[in-house]
Amino acid sequence: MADKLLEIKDLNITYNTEITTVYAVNGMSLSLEYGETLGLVGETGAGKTTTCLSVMRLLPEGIGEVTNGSIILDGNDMLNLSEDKVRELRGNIVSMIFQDPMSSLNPVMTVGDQILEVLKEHNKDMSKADLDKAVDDMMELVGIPANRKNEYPHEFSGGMKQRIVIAIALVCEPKLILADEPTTALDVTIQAQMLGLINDLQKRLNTAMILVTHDLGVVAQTCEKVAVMYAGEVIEFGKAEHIFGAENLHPYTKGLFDAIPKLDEDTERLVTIDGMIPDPTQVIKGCRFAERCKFATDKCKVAPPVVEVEPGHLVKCHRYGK
Amino acid sequence: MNKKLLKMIGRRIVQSVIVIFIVTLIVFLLNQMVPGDPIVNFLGPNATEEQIEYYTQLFGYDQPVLVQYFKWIQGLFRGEMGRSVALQMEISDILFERLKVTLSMVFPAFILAVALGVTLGITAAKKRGSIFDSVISFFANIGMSMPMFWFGMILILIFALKLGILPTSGFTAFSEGAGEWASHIILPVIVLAMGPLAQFTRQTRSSMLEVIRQDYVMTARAKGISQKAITFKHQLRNAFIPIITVMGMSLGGMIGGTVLVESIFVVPGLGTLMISSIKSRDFMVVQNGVLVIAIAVALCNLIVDILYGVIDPRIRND
Repeated sequence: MADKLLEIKDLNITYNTEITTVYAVNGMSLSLEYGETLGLVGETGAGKTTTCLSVMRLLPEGIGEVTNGSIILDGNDMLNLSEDKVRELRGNIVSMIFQDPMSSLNPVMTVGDQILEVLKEHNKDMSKADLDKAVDDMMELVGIPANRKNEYPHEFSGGMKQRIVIAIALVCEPKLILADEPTTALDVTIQAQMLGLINDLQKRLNTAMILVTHDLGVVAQTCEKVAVMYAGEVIEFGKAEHIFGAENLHPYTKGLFDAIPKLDEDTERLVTIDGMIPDPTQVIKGCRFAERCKFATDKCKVAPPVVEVEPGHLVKCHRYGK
Repeated sequence: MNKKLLKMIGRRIVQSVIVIFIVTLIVFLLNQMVPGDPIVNFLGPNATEEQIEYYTQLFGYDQPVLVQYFKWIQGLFRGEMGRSVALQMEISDILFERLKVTLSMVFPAFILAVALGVTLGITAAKKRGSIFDSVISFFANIGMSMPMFWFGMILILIFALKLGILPTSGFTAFSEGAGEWASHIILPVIVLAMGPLAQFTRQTRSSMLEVIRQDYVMTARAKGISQKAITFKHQLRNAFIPIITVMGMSLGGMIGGTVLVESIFVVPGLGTLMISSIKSRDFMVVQNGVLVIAIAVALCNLIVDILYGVIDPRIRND
């Protein structure tokens, strides 16, 4: 067994369309231990979902392309495996929870069958009775009475659908769950329930998780480690207490924290980071954040080094370089 | 769940009966408006006034329009359609004889169009943008825009006249020999199937493309199941609703629309019967013929509606 569950190194992903090439992920590196929870934070277009899809090897065929780098998952070289082997891992070793529970269930299949399908695929020698029992148990575990397994997705509420989606993701007891903004489509009370449920099950089954989110509050609640992504790369990585300790931060991460409205102060306007995420169709040589950074100097025209500002806390910025 | 489905089916059957009833009324009234008289037509220019009057009374055509209509409907409930003036036979006998001939072309043509159309549509969608896709789309467009009569004549020209491997026209019943039956039916079936085949191919292709991008297909991929299971269990079943709609309409249209094919290949089916009956103003045959076609179309729609409910659980609810 490998010592790390997931090791992404220098990953580059492009989307090639007829009109242009989009550089979605640029030199992304990330590692994750067994059973660990990592929050992957960043604004829209930072490459969070793309990274997750590439771990599952589910990038849109013929459009998304990994141009460089490696992904090692539980000792498997994901980018060089045969399709059949990847299928064995999908849903079994690694599974994904998608953003929108309303559309991620098949409307013409009963929820029980949808949970059963993945279990059966990866446990071909299990008996019918055992399979059914496992589906029932999983449904109860996510808080849905097993006698509703013959109902269809349209007969469930949004929160319950997401419970089903979680059941599908967890029924094979994978080593890694990629949760791609699992609560974005749900209202706030349900969000909290759902996160509690995922966290709970994750601990019970000793599953590692990458939680993709915009929400720093959610990260603080649930994650041991945090990776901040900007324009296709990880610009800051560390334990949650490093990031939320608010010292030695990357200027972008600092900007993200400043943008959270404070309850104890009167603010007329919300604080924002000036400027826009750089055009992803352009190749940028230096620091990708330099254009929006108030600390930017001439040094920032070259790519910044990754600096370990304190043990286990990595920042990709010239400010902390020697 | 099944109770919902049964309720839905019951409701649709009632609707179909109402539609068929309205069709009988419209067709009867239209026939009344058409100039010409079946009796005069049948007896010819040398008939005397007395002869015409005698036959008009015999067939009941002297009675008020409403009485004639109710007598027709009354007869239908007893399983009687009346007698044909021009053919001097029971209309129900002729109609069902002819309907059998028509259906023996329509069903093979429909099955051919469904099997080939769905297969080609799925393949084209899967290989979107490839040469294969372009070729299929190209021929589907030609198939949809080519006039039936022209296509039929070209086929006769090639296979019957030039190559001499198939007869130019006519029909042999299946009971008189399968080989003879097949050789007569093959060209009409191809002509009849062409339009629907092209339509099914295009509809399958576009529905599949729509479904391929859905989130639940991504969920299915993430489960690690095979591409075949994804295609059939997740994509095709969801894509099938619009495909079935088109199929139902086509099957109904094919039964009513064999007129052209039957004329080209001189097949004694329902279509040619309708044409000759209209020419001889034998309107009882015409209105019963339209009724049979209307029932067939309503039946197709009913089957489509039931299939909707079977395929898509959301439809059972409303």
